Formats: sequence, C-alpha cells, structure tokens
Amino acid sequence: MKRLIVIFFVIISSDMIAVDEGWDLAARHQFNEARDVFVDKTRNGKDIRRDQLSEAAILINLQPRTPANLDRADQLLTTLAETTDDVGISALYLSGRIDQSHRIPYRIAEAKTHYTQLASLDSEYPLAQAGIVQLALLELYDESLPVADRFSAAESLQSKLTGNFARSDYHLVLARSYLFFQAGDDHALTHFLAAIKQGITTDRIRADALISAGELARDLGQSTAERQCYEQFISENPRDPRKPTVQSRLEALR
Amino acid sequence: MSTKSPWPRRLTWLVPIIVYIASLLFVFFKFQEKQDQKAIVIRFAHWNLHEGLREGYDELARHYEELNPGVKIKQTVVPKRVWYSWQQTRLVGGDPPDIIQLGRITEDEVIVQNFVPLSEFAKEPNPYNVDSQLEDVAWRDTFFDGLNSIRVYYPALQEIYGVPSMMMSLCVFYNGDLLKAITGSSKPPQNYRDYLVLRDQIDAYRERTGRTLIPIAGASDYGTYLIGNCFQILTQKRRSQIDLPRVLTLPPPQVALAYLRGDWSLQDAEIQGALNVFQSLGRGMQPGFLHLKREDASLIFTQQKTLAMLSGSWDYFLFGQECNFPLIVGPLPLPDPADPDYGHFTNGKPHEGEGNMNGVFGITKSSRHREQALDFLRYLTSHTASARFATSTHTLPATLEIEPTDQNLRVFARVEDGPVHGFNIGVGAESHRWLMTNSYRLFQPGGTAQNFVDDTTDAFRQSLISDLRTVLKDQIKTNQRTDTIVMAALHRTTTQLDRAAGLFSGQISRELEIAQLQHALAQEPD
Repeated sequence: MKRLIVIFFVIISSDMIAVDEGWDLAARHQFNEARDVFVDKTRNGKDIRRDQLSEAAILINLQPRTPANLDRADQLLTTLAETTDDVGISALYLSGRIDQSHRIPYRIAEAKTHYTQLASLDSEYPLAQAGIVQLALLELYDESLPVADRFSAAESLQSKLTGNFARSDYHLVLARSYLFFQAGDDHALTHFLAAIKQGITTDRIRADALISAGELARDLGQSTAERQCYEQFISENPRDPRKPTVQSRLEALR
Repeated sequence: MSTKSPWPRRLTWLVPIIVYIASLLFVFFKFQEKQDQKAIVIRFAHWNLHEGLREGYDELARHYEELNPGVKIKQTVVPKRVWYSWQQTRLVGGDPPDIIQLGRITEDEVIVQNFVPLSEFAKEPNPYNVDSQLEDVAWRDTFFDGLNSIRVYYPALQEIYGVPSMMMSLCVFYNGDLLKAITGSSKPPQNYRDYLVLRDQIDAYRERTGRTLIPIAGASDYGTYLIGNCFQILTQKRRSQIDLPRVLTLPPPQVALAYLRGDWSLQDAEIQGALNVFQSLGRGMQPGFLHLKREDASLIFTQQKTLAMLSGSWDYFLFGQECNFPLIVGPLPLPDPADPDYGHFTNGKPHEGEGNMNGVFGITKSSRHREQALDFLRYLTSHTASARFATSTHTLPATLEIEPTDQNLRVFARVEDGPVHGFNIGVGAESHRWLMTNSYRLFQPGGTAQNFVDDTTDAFRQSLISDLRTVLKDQIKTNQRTDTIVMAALHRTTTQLDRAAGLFSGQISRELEIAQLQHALAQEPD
C-alpha cells in the first residue's frame, strides 16, 4: 500500500513539474519547446481540460504562425468555454483575444461577444475581469458609434468590475481615452484618481498616472489633488527626470 | 640546374632549439589551461574599444580576482561593426560569454530567451557597498538612472536585464592654446551666443594670421546627437502645448500622433529655430561632416587643423593621451533662456534623464556560473570599483555618490536639476533617416531651414506614418505573445497572480496605444 501511495505522489509531482516546465518555456517565448513538453504531458492525460487550455495557449504563438493553428486553438477553447470554471473563463477570454488581436482581419464583433459573455458571468476570476477591461477598450474605439455613446458604454461596465484584478487598468483606459478624444479633462482626472486609489502595480504606469493626474488637477485648479499626486510621485520616483519639474510645481503651490 | 637551400647550412642547429622552446611553451600553456580549468572562469564581452576602457575593466577584473581566489575574469573586446553578428553567432551557438554588453539587441524575444532577469536582485543591497555611502541601499537605487533606462529595463518584459558601468555625456573639446590665441581667454563658449562671438573671433584670427582653421570638427554620429539636442532644447515650451496625455516627457509615438493631429508642424518657429541653430553650428564644421567617421574628425583635431571637436566624455581619455596641447572641455553651445533669438523657446538645459548609460552588462542564461557572474557585476558597479574605474578611465560613473577626481570631468556632470526636455522630430528609423538624408540641404549654398522644410514636408509625413506602422506592428506582436505568458502566470501549479496583474497592465496599456494608433492611421491614405 505504502508503495502505491509513493508511486501515486511521484506521478502527481512529475506531472506538476512538467506543467511548470512547459509554462516556464512559454514565459521565455520558447513556444515550440513548450509545446513539446505539453504534448508529452498530454499523453498521460490526467487533467485533460487544463492540458487542452495549455495546448491552445501555446498554439496561438507557435512558430510559424498559421491560421490552422488559430483554428485548432479556437476549436479547443470553444469546447472548454462550455463550463464556467477557471479553465472555461480562461478559454473564453483567450477566444476573445484571438478575435481581437490574432486573426487577420480582426474580428472585433466576435471579440466583443466573448467579452460580453465574460462580463455576464459576474465572476471575480482575473481573466473575467480582464475581459471587461478589453470590452471597455473595444467600445471606446468603435468608430461606428458617436464618441459620447462609446464613453457611456464603457462607463456602464464599471459596475461589472467586482474583483481587484484589472480594476485600476479599467480606470486608466478610461482616463487616457478621455484625454485622447479630448472628451473631458475632469472625467479623465476622476478616473486617474480612481486608478491611483485602487493601486497600480506597475511602477512605470503608476508614475505616469501620478504625473497625468497632477497635471490635470493643476489645469483644473484642484490644488489638493495636485499636491497629493506630485508628493507621491516624488517619494516613489526619486531618480525620475521629471522630478525637478514636479518639485517646482509643488513649490509654486506653497 | 642547382637549387639553393633557403636555410644557410650553419643555421640548422637552431631547429632543435626552436622545437625545444616551442615544446616548453606548449607545456606551460597546457599547465596554465589546466589551472584555469580548476578555477571558475567568468568571461565578459563588450565593444568598448575606446582608449583606456579595456585597461580599466582589466584592472577591476584583476582586483576582483584578488578578492575572490579561484575565480578568473576574462575580457573579450569585439569591434562594434562586427559585434551584432558575433553576438548572434555566440547566442545561437549556445556558447556566449557569461556576461555580455547589452544595447545591440532590439528584440525582446532575444533578451528573454538568452539573459537572466535581474529585477529581484536589484531590490537587494549590493554587498560590495558595505562601508560606503551606499551601504544598505537597494542595488537599483545606487545608479543614476535607478535602473530605468533603455538597454537596462525592458518595459514589455517588465524586467531589468542589465546594469550600467558608466555614463556618457556630449561636449565640445577645445585646443586650449588656440582658444587663448583666438579669444585671449581659456573659457570656452557656454551657449549659442558665445559661440557666435567665437565664430567672429575665428574669422578675425584667420585674417590676422592667414591660417586656415576649421572651428569645429564633426562626425556623422555626433551630428545626429547635435541635431537631436537642438530639437530637445528648442521645443521645451512647445512640448507642453502638444502633451495630450499629460506625461511631461512625450514618448516618440505620441510626438508623431500630435503631428498627424496637426498640433505641431515643421513650419513652427521652434522647429525652424532648431534647424537654424544646427545649420549655424554645422557650417562651422568641416564640409561633409555628416558623412565622416569619428576617426576622421579626431585626426584633424589632434593635428590642430580645427579649434574644437564635437564629441563626448568617451573621447576624453584619448585626447588626454594624443593631444600635445592643453585640452579644455565645454558644453554644447546651444541657446539658453537669455538668448535674444531663441531664448523664448527654451526652459534651459534639460535634465539629462535616464539616457546616456553605457557599458550595460547582462548575464547570459547559458552561463555555468550565474551566481559568480552576478557577484562580479555587483563588484563592477559597487561604489569602490566604480570610483576606481572612473578615475583610471576618466569616464563618468553610473553609480551615485562618486565625485570626479579630474576637474575637467565636472563639465560632463549630468544635469539633474533641469527642466524636462522637449521632443525630437526623428521619432523612429524612417523619420530619423528623413532627417539625416536631407540635412545636407541646410549646408548647400543658399540652403535655409525654410527651403529644407518646404521641400521635404510630404516625405516627413510619410516617414512618420511609416514609423507609427512599425510601432503598431511591434506592439501587436508583443501583445500576442503576452496572451500566452499571462496564461502561464495564472495556470502554473502555483498561480503568480501579481505577475499576471503586471503583465496584463502592460498589455492593456499597449492595447490602448494600438487602438489610438489604428484610429490615427485610419485617417491617413495607404
């Protein structure tokens, strides 16, 4: 019996090592090598749904890129997305990404359908939340609609963001788009401040957001927000070339 | 017919002696090789052929060996012109040196596959900084750039892959004897107005002495840097009017987007001003300088055929060795806020930013001694080693809290309290090519900034569109790859949620740029 338990754990752990080895290779952009690892693993066939998800995720970047690989990935993902567990949500999200970015020509309507489906799940799983942000972005740059309608559609998605993953990204997409379309500096500032409050994990993106918010607050005469943004920027970015300019802005506020 | 032996018969006794010496040498080198095989050998390669640098690195390597018995450091210097192919061959062959200079690899894919990310280590203090002002400071915060500059930090990968060993700074070198003979003073021009005065003084000197003297020696690369600086200085105020994303330092694609929106044009007084200043400075250089190499310019400067040379801190050591006249270092003579013609365009000498880092080294993934290689990089960039390197090579350290011992080097010191810079109109390969292939128009007889702009505006617009299409293509490609990598972070046996969040933030931020570029390019004819 003991021997059987040991064998069981050896098989399980070797399987886990193979999964991580495959993903590690993928993270290093060695997609073809990762595929070989996953193909070997799939032969053991212990968690067929996860194996199929990894196969699809690798297929979309396998070299050389071919429409046949995308079709095969799509096929796998469609089946996986029938169940709404984390694998199913990941599959639905990836289907959206294939239509949004991998297919030539892009299939934006199909991508929107996938992301809308994700939004309707009310799931806090990271990729369900990420799908909502992608949907907001597609709404904002949908050239067939008037700009005001695009912003209404994107703003309405905020209530769907129930988890923390990607919430600050949602606000940044909105803020930067208000600036790009010159559709309202006050709206842009509101979203920048919301993103900062939520917590932006990437240093560079946070630094830019603090500057943008500070500059907008300055233009709009909101000195408290301006001061807070600049002070946070200086404390977090002591070596940034924008520091002396920001410092002079702060001195002018005193 | 008689054949005469090339060896005189009396020298045949030399043969066994030569064979004997050769065998001794063979045994000696084999023995040495075996000794080396026992030691950990760290090989590092770079292209810094500038005088003094090889010796400077060598000195540090020997000192490191003393501190770490059993470790050997071997330096390989490969000329810049063959570096790319050499490096590719070594990387593809799976046998690169342990440490390689970064800067000639533009593809993130090559970086991620071949180099060790250093971000985690950068958060820890450098153990070689114990007993210095930088003790207990995170390694990344011991550098001028905070390890944020290009070639060091790779935004799409969100990782630090290199650490810089020195900084570079542009300047003008003057022949001290000639400067004094011409101006009666040893003080070099501090700005554009001073330079115009000097130019008149040179004319007077030529008339007085009958001597043909070129004011400044220039070369193609340095001409590129000069025009870039002219734009960066004279568009400082204009920048604030086109900064739609409100980030203070506009990334190049945003500069191009602003142009397509009509927020700035080549007819703007600031752009014409920058071209006028470049023309004025370029007319003081030898004819055809935009097509000449650095060596051509150095030669005429050291031969005293020119008063000065436009170059940078990297040449200071060479000129110190080769010039038999006193060397004076001055800043680029560009307009300052007091300039009567261009002062109202500028806020003053800008912060030199995160650029100009050099000698950036990364560790290759195939290194058999990664820990030791990392340890050597920590030593190389420590306060003590950086100070030693800066002193022996007369270069600027990339590490903080080191005062240059050479007074002349203070001129090179980075501007750290300046305002943000403006923008360069060469935003990518095509617009840069447009600028450099058309610059000759400024130096033709009768050439003016206005003619230059009138004749090339259409081509400029096309070059910007081409550059934006390149950015678009690259961003799409990066984001496609990121899809798989986000999946990797979330579906490993242990989920890397923070990494996935960071990757997604980067991806959606690029996706936003893609959408904005597509929106702008959709308005342009194919």
